[in-house]
Amino acid sequence: MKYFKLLLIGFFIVNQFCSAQTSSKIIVAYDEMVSLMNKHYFDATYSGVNWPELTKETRQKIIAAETQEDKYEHIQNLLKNLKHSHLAFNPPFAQEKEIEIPTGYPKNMDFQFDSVNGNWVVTAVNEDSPAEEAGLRPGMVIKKLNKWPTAELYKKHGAMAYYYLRNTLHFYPKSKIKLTIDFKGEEQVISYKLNAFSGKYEQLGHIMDPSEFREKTLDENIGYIHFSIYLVNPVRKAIKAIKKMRDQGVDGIILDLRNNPGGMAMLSTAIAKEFCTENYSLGTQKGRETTLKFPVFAQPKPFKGKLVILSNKYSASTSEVMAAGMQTNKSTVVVGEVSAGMALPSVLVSLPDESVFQYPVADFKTVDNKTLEGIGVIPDVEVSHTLESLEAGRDLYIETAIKIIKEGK
Amino acid sequence: MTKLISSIAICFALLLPLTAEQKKAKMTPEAVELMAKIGKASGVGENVKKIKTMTQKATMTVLGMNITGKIAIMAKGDKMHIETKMASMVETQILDGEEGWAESMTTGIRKLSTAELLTLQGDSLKYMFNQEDFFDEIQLAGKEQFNGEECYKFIYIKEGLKPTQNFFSVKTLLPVGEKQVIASPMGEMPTTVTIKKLVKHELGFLYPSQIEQSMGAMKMKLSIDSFSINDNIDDAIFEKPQD
Repeated sequence: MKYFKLLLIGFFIVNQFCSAQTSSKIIVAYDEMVSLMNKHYFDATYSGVNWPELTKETRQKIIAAETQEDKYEHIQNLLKNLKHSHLAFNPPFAQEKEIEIPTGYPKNMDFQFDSVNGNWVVTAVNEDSPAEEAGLRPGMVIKKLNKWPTAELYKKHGAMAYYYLRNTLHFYPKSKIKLTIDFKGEEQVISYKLNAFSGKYEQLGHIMDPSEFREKTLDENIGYIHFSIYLVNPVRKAIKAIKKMRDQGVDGIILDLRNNPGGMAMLSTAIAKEFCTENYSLGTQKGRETTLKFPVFAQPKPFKGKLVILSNKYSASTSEVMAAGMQTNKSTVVVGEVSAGMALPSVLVSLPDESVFQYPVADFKTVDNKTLEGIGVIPDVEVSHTLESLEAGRDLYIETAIKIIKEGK
Repeated sequence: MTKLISSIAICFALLLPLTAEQKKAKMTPEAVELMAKIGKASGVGENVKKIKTMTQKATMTVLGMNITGKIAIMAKGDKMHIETKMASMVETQILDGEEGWAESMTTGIRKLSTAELLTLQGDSLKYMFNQEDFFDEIQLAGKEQFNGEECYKFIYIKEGLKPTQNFFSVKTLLPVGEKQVIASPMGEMPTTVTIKKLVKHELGFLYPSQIEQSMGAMKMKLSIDSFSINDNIDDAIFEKPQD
């Protein structure tokens, strides 16, 4: 649970596992967690559950539990009652037992993937990468990762499974990966060496992620930018790329936020401002004590052409804040799937037992007062991958974005 | 970050005395008398007139979140230059008398709002030692517990700003903290500053060297790394940032 849940919220992963903790430390950590929730949790109704009673019962269960795993499980069960995103208690040891624990340094995945009809399908492969040389190509269905059947992950974790699988690949503990593939009905095994991550491995507090960034100018004189997380370096590169494309006179820009789990919330405004001609707000975050805006300031030389934001079911958190906020601009079109619907501004804190606790402190609302939590960003133009299109090497999202920009819609 | 920036200056301002001489701020004789005692306890008097420039550098830590940053404040008359570095991002705030700007990755270059401008003006060297000339009214609002200590509570009022509550120990007359609603581009943020440690400058006055600041779920600690006065500060750093 640890890895993918943290990454999903778009904030961090923690790869330090500590030795066993004493029972008393767990209780101290639990008490602090409850205290934080009582003071700052954004939803004073606690989703309608009897929070004081539940916390009291849970405390008793923790004291009575014999193993640390059981004690932590009681804490996690308590939080599940609230049914909100960005709520994760991550003990100082790994929880997952179904797959090797990813403790290695980050590695290049060298491919992108998506879930299509319940299958994990390769959507893009890095050029000249070991994965491409080994024969991996778009449209291939990943059936197994080593001996581990990937379909089970989807059944067990639903939408969260993507982040888990992505993170597992980034932190795969072995140097070689073996993928069992189904391509057009034929099963094959593709094996290749995982190189050390060539991008920037960035850390902000408890947020750590191998951040990826790509930019190019497409043949149609359209700029394309992709970044994998809202951390400072990839966002800085994106801003630089937008300015460069503006100066080159591209007809439009495609900002690819597919699979982007979020990150530092205010960095959404850093990108949005590059398209801003008049001050506005992406929306508000409403907490117990304050209601704060996501202000976007007009720039002297913004990009004034068409912007198409690509979003999919794994675009979460800050990605959703930015897409929903910019969607109100006439020159911005959101293309793709309904996003993850996990958009609660949150904080991450260390607890005395070295657990890391993340909890939402505000609800994000769009300027027209719509919540995104549990709903997601509704695209202006709906598009999804199909197995057939991927097998044919097509990316329907990008094709649609190009059409929109060229037709000036 | 803006809150942290101003908190250093604000806390310093807490130490300053109010003279019996009639100033702009409306105050009762009781408040004037008590403020004079507070100033004396903090070692502030004619000595501060020697201060022409002030440079403070501090380290800030977001408690429990593994995040640290640096702040540098340079003040000269009615000018201030504040640079905050955190998470590979730099935010700069500049005050040049009646004008002010901010520059950051998230906003680009922008003019400070009226409330932000007023806040910085109140923290500037011009008013740091003349708080009674900056605020419209300073009320003595009785005694109140702050951080477990019985304190005198003063309310500083200025048109265009939310009132600030300042707390001074009844026992020692030294400043212990403040409650303020800070203006930022995101909106108004209630904040509580607690002074954890005071140190004595060679000129004889006390200044806060460790501060804790709470804003909702965020709690930050500031430690002053260096504090110097009358450094040569080039006026060019107070000019409007360029694209």
